[in-house]
Amino acid sequence: MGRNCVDNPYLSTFSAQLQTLDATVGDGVIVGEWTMAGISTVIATASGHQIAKRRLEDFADLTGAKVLQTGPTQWLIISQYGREKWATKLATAIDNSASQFDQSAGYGLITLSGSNSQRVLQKGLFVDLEVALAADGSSFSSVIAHVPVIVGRTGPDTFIIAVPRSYGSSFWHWLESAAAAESIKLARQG
Amino acid sequence: MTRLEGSGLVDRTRPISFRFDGQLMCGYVGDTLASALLANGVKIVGRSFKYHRPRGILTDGPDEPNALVTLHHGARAEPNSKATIVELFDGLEAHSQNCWPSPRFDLMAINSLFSKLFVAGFYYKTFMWPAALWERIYEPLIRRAAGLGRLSAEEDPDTYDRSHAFADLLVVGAGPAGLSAALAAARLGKRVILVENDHRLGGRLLSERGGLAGQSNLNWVTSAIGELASHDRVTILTRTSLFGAFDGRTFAAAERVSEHLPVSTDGQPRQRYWKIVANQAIFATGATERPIAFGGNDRPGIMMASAVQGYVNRYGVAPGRRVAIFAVCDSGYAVAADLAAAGVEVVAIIDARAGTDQSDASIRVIRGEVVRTHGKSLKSIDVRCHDGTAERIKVDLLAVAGGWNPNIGFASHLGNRPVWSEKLQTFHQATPPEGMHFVGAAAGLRTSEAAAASGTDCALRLFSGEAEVPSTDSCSLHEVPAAPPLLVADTRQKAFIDFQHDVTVDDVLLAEQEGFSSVEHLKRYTTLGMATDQGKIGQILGHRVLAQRRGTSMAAVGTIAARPPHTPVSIGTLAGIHRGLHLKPTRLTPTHDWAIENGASFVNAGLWKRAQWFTQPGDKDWLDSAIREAKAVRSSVGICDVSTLGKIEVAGPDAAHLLDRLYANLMSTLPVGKVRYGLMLREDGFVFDDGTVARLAENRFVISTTTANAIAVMRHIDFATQVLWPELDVQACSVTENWAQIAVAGPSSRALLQDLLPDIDLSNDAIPYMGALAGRWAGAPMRLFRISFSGELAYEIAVPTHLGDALVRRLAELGRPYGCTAYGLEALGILRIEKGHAAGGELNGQVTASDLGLERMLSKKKDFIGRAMAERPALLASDRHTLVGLRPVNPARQITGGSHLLPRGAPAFASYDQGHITSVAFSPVLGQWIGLGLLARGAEREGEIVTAISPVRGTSIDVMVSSPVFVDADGEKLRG
Repeated sequence: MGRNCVDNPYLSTFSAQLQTLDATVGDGVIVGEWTMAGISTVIATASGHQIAKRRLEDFADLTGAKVLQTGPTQWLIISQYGREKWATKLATAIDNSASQFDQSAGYGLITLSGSNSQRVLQKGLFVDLEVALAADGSSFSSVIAHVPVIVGRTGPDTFIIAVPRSYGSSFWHWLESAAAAESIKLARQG
Repeated sequence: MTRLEGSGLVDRTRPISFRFDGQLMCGYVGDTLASALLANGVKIVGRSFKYHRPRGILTDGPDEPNALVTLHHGARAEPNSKATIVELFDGLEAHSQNCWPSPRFDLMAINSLFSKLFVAGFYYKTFMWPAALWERIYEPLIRRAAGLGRLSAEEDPDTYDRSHAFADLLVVGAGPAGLSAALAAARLGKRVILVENDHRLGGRLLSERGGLAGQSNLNWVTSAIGELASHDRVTILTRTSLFGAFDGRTFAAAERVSEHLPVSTDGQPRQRYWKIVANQAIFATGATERPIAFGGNDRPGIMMASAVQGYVNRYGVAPGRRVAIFAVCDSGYAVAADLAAAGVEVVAIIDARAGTDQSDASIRVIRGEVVRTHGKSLKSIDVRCHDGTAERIKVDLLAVAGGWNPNIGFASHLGNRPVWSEKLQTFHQATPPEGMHFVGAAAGLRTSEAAAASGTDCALRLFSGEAEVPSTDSCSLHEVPAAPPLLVADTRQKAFIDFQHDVTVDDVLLAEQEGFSSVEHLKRYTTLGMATDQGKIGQILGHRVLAQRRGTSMAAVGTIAARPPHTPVSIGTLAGIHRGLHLKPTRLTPTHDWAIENGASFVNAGLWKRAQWFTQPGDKDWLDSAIREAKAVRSSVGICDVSTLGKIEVAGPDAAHLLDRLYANLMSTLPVGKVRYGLMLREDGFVFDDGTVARLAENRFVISTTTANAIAVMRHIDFATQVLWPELDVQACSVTENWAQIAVAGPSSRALLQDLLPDIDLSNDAIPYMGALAGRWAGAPMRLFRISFSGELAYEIAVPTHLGDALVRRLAELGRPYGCTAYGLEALGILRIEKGHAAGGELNGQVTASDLGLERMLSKKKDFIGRAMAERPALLASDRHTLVGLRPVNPARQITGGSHLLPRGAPAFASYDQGHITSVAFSPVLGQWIGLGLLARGAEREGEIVTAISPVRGTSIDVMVSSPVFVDADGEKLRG
């Protein structure tokens, strides 16, 4: 176990809740979960910020990993197809510019898509999504209904939200309530 | 029925029925409850708060002080609903308030006979003596009398929602000024949010005849709405009441989502709480018409002139058939004209001003004042003419046009005090807070044209710089002389200034006489300006009384600063989804489902739900369960989810250096694969937290914290790395969520784990006490730490969180032959108290390392946070309270946590207090209750008997002081 020791288990946080949703698609919000994801927190060293940032961008281009910036020198790296080999590649990529911490089992990764996804998400976030998530790949840390979250845009109407696993049921309660209040149907991603 | 034929904006093709005090009535879609009540001839809607005087409808808007009703019944009963803004729907059920048996005949009206007693400061003067009656008699009496309406005691069956919104421009109010401002900004492509309290846009344009920009009012509004709807960056929120302005250009609003519907559909919430951030905010909030203080001015049938105009023009209702207008400004004449046009008889305009007539010859104008009124509901008025004559006029409606108060309270939410304008004869916002702008009637403008122009100009100035917004005092359109608030002297009847709290002119005079001569003191003493209308109707009238009494100006008297909420807000709206079990977020442990299946009862540990004990067949109570579980750990093996403990990984070349500075004891010497107990101090030298430090690799550690301090320690480390020592090359990250950790404790723990991990050598040599190793389980990484909180041979095994459930089930299954038992927090408490380990009760923020007997952990070889302050004389004093063990001299007695420790035989006075019991448990090993405590010079007093006194429980028990370690003092078991 060295400086960039990372492990990648596979997990699901919202499977029970997702099973309660229909797979229909309409004007609703389509909810999915990246259950096979490998997740790492990467924190740059004091002098390695720019290097780490560049290396993470290169790594994302190479592997398709999502890089969500969560602080001035901190990122959450998500691989939709988590494997230990992927994590080792990440460790190699960042080398000594940063430290890497495995969070693969620590977060549930929920995705919201569809034309109403931003509307529902904005209900919970006291952050202007039109500004904060203007571009694909932009991200921030915040809270939704007092649940800490990391939010990123992955497409025009597609968002990924990292929810600490222990808060999963409370987050889901918010999501269901917020959608119901707007008469928006939640649908399971097929 | 007083419905006018062919006028108004209600939908005559859609009649609906409703009930008021059980009586079936009819109205139309578009009516408010107030307009429908008036249309059905209802004049007395309720009774006043103090004197139980009959009261009717005074206004047609959100500031209504009189017509408060309770809507619905049972759990949905909603008291203090303003009939003037309640939208009528089919089946609506409303009840009058503050009267019995009915508004027309109220037995409590007897209060009026004692009105001489119920003066300002009545409570303060009356309920003074004797003091013995304060709590038993006076307070219950006052509480019973206090309050308007009655809340349902049942659980609220409705749901409430919350949303956030962001905009370039927030426009509050959708009258001519607001609509114009929104249109101007929308045309520039700005993101606009338009908030309107009414269900319909248009503001006063809906209530006034006439036109705007060459169109009828209604056509202009329709056109504006159509254009706004075509802009996709415009959000229109009707039925939404802005109720607060806060720092950071943040505003709060409540939207009535489904209150106007007989039954909410598709799970719609009752209300939605909006938190809005806007770079600029234009307040087109209009103005509130103020009453005139004259004798009997609260009688049903006396109504604000603007309200009369609204009921006639918007709702097609004539509130009376024979009407007089009492005016101090020209707006009264417009109302008279509208009434006449609607076919209502206007018998006279009583104009309090000196000057020439404004009316056409068809309406009689009397220069004078109304001094008295007559009738349960209005029958006649007495007029004192300026020429010295007097006249009694029979009327059933008196419309009062007492001038206008701009609605500027939101600026006060940010600390701005309104200032008096001699020109406007009212308070206004001369220099509103940055980003806040008042236009239209809220800026003192009187005509629709002026209002619309000011809205447009303001928006253009903000977003295009093409125009200058005219200031209130320089606006050329503001040429109509304004009148001051009017007080009619020598009326010989009560002249009310605050209708909701029955505050009269005499009350203000008395308050001033008794020394309450500032507006803030006046408010508290008389309740002027309190309750649901917050003084929007009559407060300035009260200040006028005060100014006259003091012989000073309105500018010198000033007015109070409005505070949020601007309008009443349901608690449910603020709570949203956060109520009941969802009051706070819940954090579930990885083994939560398994714990439920095994009979766990849970306790809140911060946001976590932790298993407190596991009820099994045969357990008599929780203590029985906890004792059984603790015994199992001492005799065989137990398993307990400890995932809630904080877990922080620290990595980097300087990781060991950082830990040396964070912990009081040395960590850099810790070998890889070893664990060390660590103690953190705060900067002030007191103990902050404790836990373990495991060295996973040369430059990587994982530390554990208490559950309570998991976030605080992470914050502490971030502060240290980012602020104190940014030069250190070290990174720290909370991984609490990533790992499920199960304690496996007891003599059979090694055997059980060896069954779980057959490929790993778990012998004492391979993993001795305070050893750590990494491996794999179920194809995933696994960490094993040999640490013990119970004093037994014990381990903590960590796997990725999603495997926690599988791990605990596998341990339970493999442990069956060993008698493996699940144990919860209560058993954990028993075990650690028997072992003398400090936890929450002892780590109370006031103890030092020495107090806990841990002074040897304070390294002399290095510097660390808290070292210098820990050497303060007071923290080294010999009489400090130190950790001791305690057991009752009579083993049959039970001691209680929190008991004070006093010398044996000393009287139970605080001056003899020498400490307290921090934790207690029934010890299965000793067969009696034991405890830990903090006792003055405790370490020197082993064997001494002291008395544990609990004033709360009324107990006094002799206890013997002992070592805090009750079992296995030499630690042989945990090293075995």
